[in-house]
Amino acid sequence: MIRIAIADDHTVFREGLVSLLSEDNNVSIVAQAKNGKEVLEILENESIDVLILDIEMPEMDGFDTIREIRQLDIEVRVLVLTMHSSLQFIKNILKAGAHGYLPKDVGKTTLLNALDTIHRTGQFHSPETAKMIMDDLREDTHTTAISPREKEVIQLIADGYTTQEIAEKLYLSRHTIESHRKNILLKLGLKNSAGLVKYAIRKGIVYC
Amino acid sequence: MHQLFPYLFAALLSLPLQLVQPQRQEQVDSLRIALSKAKSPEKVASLNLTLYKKLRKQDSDLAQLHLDKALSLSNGTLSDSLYGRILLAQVEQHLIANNYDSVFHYANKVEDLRKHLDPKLLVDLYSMVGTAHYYKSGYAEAILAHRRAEKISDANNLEAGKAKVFNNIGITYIKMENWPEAKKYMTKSFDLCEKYGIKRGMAFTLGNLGIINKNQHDYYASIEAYEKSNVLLTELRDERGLARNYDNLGVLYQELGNYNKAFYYYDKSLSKANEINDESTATSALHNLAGLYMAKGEFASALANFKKSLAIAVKLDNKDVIRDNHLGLSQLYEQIGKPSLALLHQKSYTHWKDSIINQEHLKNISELEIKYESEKKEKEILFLSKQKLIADDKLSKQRTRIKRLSYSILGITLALSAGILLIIQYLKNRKQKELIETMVEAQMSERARIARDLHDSVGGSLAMTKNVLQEIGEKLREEHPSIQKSIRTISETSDQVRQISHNLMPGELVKFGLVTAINATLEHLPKTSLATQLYTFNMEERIHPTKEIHLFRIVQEAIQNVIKHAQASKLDISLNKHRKYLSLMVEDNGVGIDIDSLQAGIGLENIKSRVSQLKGTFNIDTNKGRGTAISIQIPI
Repeated sequence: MIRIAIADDHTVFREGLVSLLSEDNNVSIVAQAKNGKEVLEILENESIDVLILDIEMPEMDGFDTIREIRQLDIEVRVLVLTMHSSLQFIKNILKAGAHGYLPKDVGKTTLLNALDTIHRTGQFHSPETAKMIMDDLREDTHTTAISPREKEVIQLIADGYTTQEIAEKLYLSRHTIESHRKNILLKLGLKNSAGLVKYAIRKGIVYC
Repeated sequence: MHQLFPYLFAALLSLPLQLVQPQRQEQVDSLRIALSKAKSPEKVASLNLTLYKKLRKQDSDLAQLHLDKALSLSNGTLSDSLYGRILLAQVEQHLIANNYDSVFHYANKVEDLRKHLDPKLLVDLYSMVGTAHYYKSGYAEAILAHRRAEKISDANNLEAGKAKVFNNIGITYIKMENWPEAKKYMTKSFDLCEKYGIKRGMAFTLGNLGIINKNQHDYYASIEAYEKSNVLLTELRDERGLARNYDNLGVLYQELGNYNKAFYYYDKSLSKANEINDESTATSALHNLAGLYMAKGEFASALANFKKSLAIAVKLDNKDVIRDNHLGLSQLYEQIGKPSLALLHQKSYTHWKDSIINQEHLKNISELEIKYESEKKEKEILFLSKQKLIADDKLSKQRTRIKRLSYSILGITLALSAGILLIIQYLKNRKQKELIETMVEAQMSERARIARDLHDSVGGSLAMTKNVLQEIGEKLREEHPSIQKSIRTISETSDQVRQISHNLMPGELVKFGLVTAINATLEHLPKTSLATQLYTFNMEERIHPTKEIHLFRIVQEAIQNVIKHAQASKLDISLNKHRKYLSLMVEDNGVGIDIDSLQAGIGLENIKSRVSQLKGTFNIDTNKGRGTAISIQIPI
């Protein structure tokens, strides 16, 4: 028997979940909470195997609740059940320390399966979630890197071209080139174009 | 005494000025014979279009049939120029029928063919698009479209056509209550009408100048304009125009406290309106007349006229006038000591007021996708608050000027107090600005709240309902097959709620900030050949929420522009936080945006408007075939 607590600020949703799970002999709903604070109170007094946790709640939301649970080192598996389904949200949920994630409209079978898996193995990831995360990892995203356009500008500065000449070469205005130059200096932590040339040569961006 | 709502008529010259001449039947007949003999699609379509134009004013149904016929022939077989003209006629028909979204739809199609069309027709096109925006209360867009018409007129030496364009711009400014701008354009329009002897145009613009002058409290100029307009309208035998001018003159004299003259003009408006059976002017004049009687304390006459006005308004289904008459009646009954009747009409007033608002809401919802609507609304607020700032600024400048004059007369001794007064003025102005900023912020946080509630509360309940139904559905599959359909419906509704909520305010933006929200947007772009990349630096810390929202909408708009117009294969966005400002750059390798195209133009205007709201700088480089680079700096 898996001991379960449900945390969601919407009564309709909680009651629906209870009626959905109550027929199953494998799980037992021990407690319900409307926000993170109530969750922590429950966890203090009861031993819970799996916590079904919503993200958007008043007082203390799901993210803060998970962080608090980790901080206090409470022994419980957290399955986040939320309306949010974008990759950005899922990544942040897992980063915060949740043991599994499911969207709210999953259906009874998937939910029971997830509760069972998370209880036995310590975590649960649906094939859809796993695929999303893997695809994201595979994609090479160096967001703080120097962009190809910026490399182009560095090259031209190092080659000794003036802003006006660079603008003409790249069919852009002086203003745009100037913005690129400032962004490059910011990213490389440099003060002026002379430093930029040195940096470029050292790093081999420019072929001398 | 309560000032009742006066009805001011602004004459709109949106359609090409043409003398209404009944077409001679023989001409139509000979066209029909030619049509029956014509073989090539080009010829048939062209004849149908001509017949549409000839019949438009006499038999609109028949005209529409000819236009439909012309349109049905036009799948790739017609020359671009003829197809363009047919589509333009379609725009015109939809404008007359008040189908504004169809106006925009067909206008976009005409725009694609603009290289094959006579510039005169393009002026008509943008004038009609502007007029459609005007009727939809999209004044910012209206002015943009009219300006475009102006630009084309300029480039092609179509000076006479600008009379119409200037009038349209003037009227839009009237609606925006920007009286100085309205006056500027209306005067320009009048001068052109005079130069080219367009008498009807002169009469209309003078009437509009009457409205503008009155609102600038220049009553003598207003009366003079109306009187000149009346002379012209009499000459043109435009009885309807006269009835309206008289009604407006009545309002003006009532405001001046000259009740006798006001009475005289309302009465004159009324008898003229009755003469030509112009009920919409009649109901307005009756309502205004009733208000006047009430001001004079003649309650019996006031009552009779309110009731007459109400009856006609009900017949015309003119909700605004119905509402205002109920308000008038409620106040009247209150004054003559009949509180129960007053209450009754107060209730009717509230009912109509709500119904007008509701009707507008329903119309909005059904007419457009919520996304577009909510974004437009936000833009409108931005634009309005900007307009208000400009208006406030002008007003305060005007006041300051008057003050300065009197102070110099009073002598230098008062210079000190003048200084103090100016400071107060300045502080007042600053307070107003702060107020507007607070309002915009409040509106945004309210929207975020609605979005969250929709997403979690409504969305959550729907999700649970679906789960429970699915459970029941498994058991009752045989007996109630329709249950599966309900589950599908709920699933779709749930998706829609999520979409609406996201468009109102993306959850990622509120929860995690700009970078995550932009990443999410890029993720959700339809899978096309466009490779996107976001470069960020120093963006770990969140910035001010209002700035985040503005910047997010700017990025969204820029992405949309690239997708719709650039035909690019690569899109780089870079977001770098410097010490004192934030730099946003959006570069693509597409064909370059045609800033003259209406759609791209509106997108860029919106971006610029947000940038100026944030007191930032904006720069765009675009060259044919060399991509587009937008660079924006926002102080932080």
